[in-house]
Amino acid sequence: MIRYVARRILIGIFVLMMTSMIIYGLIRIMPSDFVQNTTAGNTRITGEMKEQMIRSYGLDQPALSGYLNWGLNLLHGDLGESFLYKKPVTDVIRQGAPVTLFIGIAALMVQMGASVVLGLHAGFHRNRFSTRLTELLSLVSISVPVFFLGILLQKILAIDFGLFPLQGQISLRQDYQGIMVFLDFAWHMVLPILTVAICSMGSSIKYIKANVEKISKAEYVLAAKARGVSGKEVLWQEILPNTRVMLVTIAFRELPLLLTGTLIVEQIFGLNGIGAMAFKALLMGDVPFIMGFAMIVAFLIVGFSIMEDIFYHLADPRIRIGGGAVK
Amino acid sequence: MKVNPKKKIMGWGSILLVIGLFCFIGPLLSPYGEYQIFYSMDGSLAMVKAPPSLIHWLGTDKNGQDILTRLMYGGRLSLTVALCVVTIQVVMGTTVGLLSGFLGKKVDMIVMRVVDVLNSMPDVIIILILSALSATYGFAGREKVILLIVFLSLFTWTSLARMVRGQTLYLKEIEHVKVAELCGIPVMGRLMHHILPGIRREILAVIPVSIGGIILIEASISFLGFGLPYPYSSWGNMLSAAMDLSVLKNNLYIWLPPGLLLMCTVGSFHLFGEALKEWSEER
Repeated sequence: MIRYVARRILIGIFVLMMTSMIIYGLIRIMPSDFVQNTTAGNTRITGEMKEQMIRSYGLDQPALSGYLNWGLNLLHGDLGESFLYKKPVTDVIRQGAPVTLFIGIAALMVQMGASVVLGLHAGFHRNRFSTRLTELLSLVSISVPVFFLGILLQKILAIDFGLFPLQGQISLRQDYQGIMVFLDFAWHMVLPILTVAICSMGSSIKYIKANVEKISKAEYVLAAKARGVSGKEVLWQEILPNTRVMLVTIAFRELPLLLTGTLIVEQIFGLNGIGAMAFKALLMGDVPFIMGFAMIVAFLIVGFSIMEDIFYHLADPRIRIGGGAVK
Repeated sequence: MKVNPKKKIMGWGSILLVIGLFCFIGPLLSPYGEYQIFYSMDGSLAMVKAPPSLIHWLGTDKNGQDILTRLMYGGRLSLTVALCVVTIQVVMGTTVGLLSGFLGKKVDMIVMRVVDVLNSMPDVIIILILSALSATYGFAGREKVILLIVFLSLFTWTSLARMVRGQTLYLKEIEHVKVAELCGIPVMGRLMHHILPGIRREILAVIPVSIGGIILIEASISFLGFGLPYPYSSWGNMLSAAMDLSVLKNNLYIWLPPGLLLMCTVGSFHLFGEALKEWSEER
């Protein structure tokens, strides 16, 4: 077990190194750099000033030494200074993180909760009207693009019914104090969270439903039914405990997807999260910020897949991780 | 109420056929051009945001172009991109997966690490880099479509490769393949005649779902404004009209049709794929 995990982590580090190298290379081969983007159209800037800027941003170094520098700094936990925001990258990310994390975590909770309830229900009771409805919901959720759902919710819930704010993250012209500040923020986050949660719900409902159907056919469930255990008790005592492993899998698998969804939703609802910042940074060629952002996302993806394996094992020791290759 | 998977395949297949005809034959039937701008009676102003009428069945958008016609052209583009990407995906994924699973050892190790690296690349970043590249090199139109296809397929073939590899590992240990090896059939022969037929149906069943996925990704890129630039139409960039709050509020007919069409197309591909999957598991 420990040997397997250590191996996975080593491979993960290797993957992250390759990823960072490729992304750094891709950014640096773009012919227009940050200096060009910021000075475009400004006639007062002389060639000399441009050269000075290029030097101060370290863009005169060849890509390889630039990358090595970046890598060495990363080992000290230093992601460099964002060209665009003129602040350390970690500070910029910390500034955008609350919104992105709030949406991401709340959406994960909503989507897990809803898909467990609906999936269990649909898997356990077949051929009911509500089951058909759940199937329809999961189909819609799979096929609707995040941005279209966001727009639809904006139109219906914000414009037509006026239940939620259309855009932004705080009410302007209001001076809330204390807990009200948070409530106001949460109220603004409802639509973005709903959008992300509904969009990622479909596949997990399907997955849970299929598994519950499979478990309901197992012999111990049949035996319980034969003993005269009521339907509800079968569901709570026999089926639910056996879905644990699956829930862990879903949670870890959905997280990267949720992240992508959040990034798009931030654009639609005009929120000031990491995603919106990253789009801006990329258009300007802000190398340190893009690298920092990309590495965090890649780290999360790699980390989650390792954690998924470990939890897999903890939740059900019968499963031998690594496809039986562990000694 | 179990429906025969073959009937399901026929049903969803025919819906997809209708969508396909709309996108590929429609542009030939439409009297208008993709970029044609319509003017009001006295010819002085563009007919902007005109509501649906007999002349323009779905109205015109904020630039005065016929929405129905643009829907057809946009669909043609989205479907073409998705079909090309998935073709490349299948060829690359199957080849790499088969070889990696069959040869095992070092080859497998290296291939799987490459797959890991590609998988952990944040999609968003890759796509934005792609659009920045094409902007700075001045790619437009056709070149940009090709670049989009190349990038999308480069970063999405890995999941198919993983699946094929897994199946190959499993099939490799089954008797008939072992017997073939003992009979002295060469590697290529065993791969083509003994392993590939066993995975064919699974691969087939993945194709529609992955076409749907690519359509969604392409639409999000275009929606965010990083896909094809304005004069070209795509369902995604038609939807971005709704980012304008007055359009969102007052001109439902501009942004609802592309969104609904997108949803129906992806949904039909998904259900078609499900039916194929049922059929492939039937044996």
